[in-house]
Amino acid sequence: MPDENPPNQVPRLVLTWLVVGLPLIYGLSQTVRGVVPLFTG
Amino acid sequence: MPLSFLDREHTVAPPGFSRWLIPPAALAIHLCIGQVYATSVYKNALVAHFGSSLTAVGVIFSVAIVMLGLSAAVMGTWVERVGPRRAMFTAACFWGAGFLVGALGIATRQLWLVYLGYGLIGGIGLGIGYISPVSTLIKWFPDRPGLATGMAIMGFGGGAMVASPLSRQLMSLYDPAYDPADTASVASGGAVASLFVTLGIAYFAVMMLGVFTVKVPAPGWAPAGFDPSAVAARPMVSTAHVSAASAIRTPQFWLLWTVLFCNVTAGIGILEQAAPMIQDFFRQGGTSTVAAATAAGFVALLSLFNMLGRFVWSSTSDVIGRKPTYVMYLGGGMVLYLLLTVAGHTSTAVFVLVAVVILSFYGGGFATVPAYLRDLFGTYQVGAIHGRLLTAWSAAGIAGPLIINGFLDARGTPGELVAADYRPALLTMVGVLAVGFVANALVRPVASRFHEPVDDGGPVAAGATSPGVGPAAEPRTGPAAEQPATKE
Repeated sequence: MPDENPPNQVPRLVLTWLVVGLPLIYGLSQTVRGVVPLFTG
Repeated sequence: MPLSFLDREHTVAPPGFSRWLIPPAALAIHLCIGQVYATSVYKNALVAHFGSSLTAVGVIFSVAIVMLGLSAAVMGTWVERVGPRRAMFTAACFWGAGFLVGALGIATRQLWLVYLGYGLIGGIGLGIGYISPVSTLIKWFPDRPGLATGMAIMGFGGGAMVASPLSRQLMSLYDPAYDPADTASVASGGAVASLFVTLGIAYFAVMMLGVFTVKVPAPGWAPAGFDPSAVAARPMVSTAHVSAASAIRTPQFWLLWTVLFCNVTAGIGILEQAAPMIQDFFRQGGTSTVAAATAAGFVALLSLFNMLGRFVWSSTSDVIGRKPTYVMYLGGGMVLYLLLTVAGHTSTAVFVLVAVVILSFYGGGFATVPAYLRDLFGTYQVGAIHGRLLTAWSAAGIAGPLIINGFLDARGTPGELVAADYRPALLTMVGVLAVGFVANALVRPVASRFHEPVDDGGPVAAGATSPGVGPAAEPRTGPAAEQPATKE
């Protein structure tokens, strides 16, 4: 069976990746802020 | 069975289902359970609230990690049988309930309830949750299993990154007197109880996204353009299946157990004492040239590379192969630990650079091992085998700190030492990595006597590289048919 990607799955893909991606970006940005003193301190 | 929509047969993907929905489903689980590595955020608050010692509060984390290993080992076969959706749902219930029972323990000042809630109940959720998406990811990504499991297990590393700052902000919301920017500020017990309730509910909700998104591939499904023979032709990739019960009787399982144990033990050697270690390495005349804030930045950088290593190195293993990847983790780790011992004190740049690469190897070791197991034992019960292998993590969690703290305690107090005091511990880690290196070198394809019987028509033999689901795609019991070849 081919690995199709019907258009009606795009909103679901966007939503699910956003739900996990946004917290991950938040965590990453907070960590990078924590790293800054290593290079400035 | 109640809640039958959770059953494996009700989660088979319809034609055209995008496999790229599976990684976020797995991430939804791992991002939540990764919170277990953010417990230091409220540790001091619990010590003050219960009027107990750091050790007594630390037991909460220890119980959770031990339960992670135990439940992953014991429940692995069940997870394989019921499928990812029921397993994820069960993990969400345990993890969420663990927080709520823990909150009750904090609110009523009953520390044993926190042990029972977060430690025991939550720990079961950790173990089931950790292994629940692994087998499914490998079946959806037969062409890139390292990338797929790397994404999920990266989420476990990322979970603490999300939970730490989020917890501080929530505690400051529940306790206005608490200042998250002030390291000396301690939140009230009530704020921590409220935090636990909030996290329990929020994590349950996010994990439900994974529950309702995850699906298993239909029998015979393969990604477009995927050539199973190309994967099967690679060195050290088996086309046979080995059950979890058989796997633990193979030398390969115990060699990989040793590999994981050594890699994790060595990584913990740095993680355990990261902040005082960088200050001690650059101490002259009793004063360190590295400030506390800089040391904290170093710890944050380590966690960043620990997370990135999971994704980057595990994905790389799809290209260079699993065994060479562990040669890099263990052999490269030995060189880097030696470099740290000999030249780590010469400049902070050298120290930081070497340490972050070591930590990236530590994270990579976790993320690459499911794909290594798939290569050796096939997809049949790879999740259950992975669960049993995770006991190496629990064992390393005890051995790593014991080794590093044992050596350092003999020299004085971390935070008041100098670089030379770390040499015995670091050189011991070189030895630990050497043991792992030898174990990895000894890994050979699994002997055919451990393989599961295959269907007469032979399609099951391709199951290791052509994913499937349900009985039709799994090895059947009965007289063994001709065994597929395994190569190195």
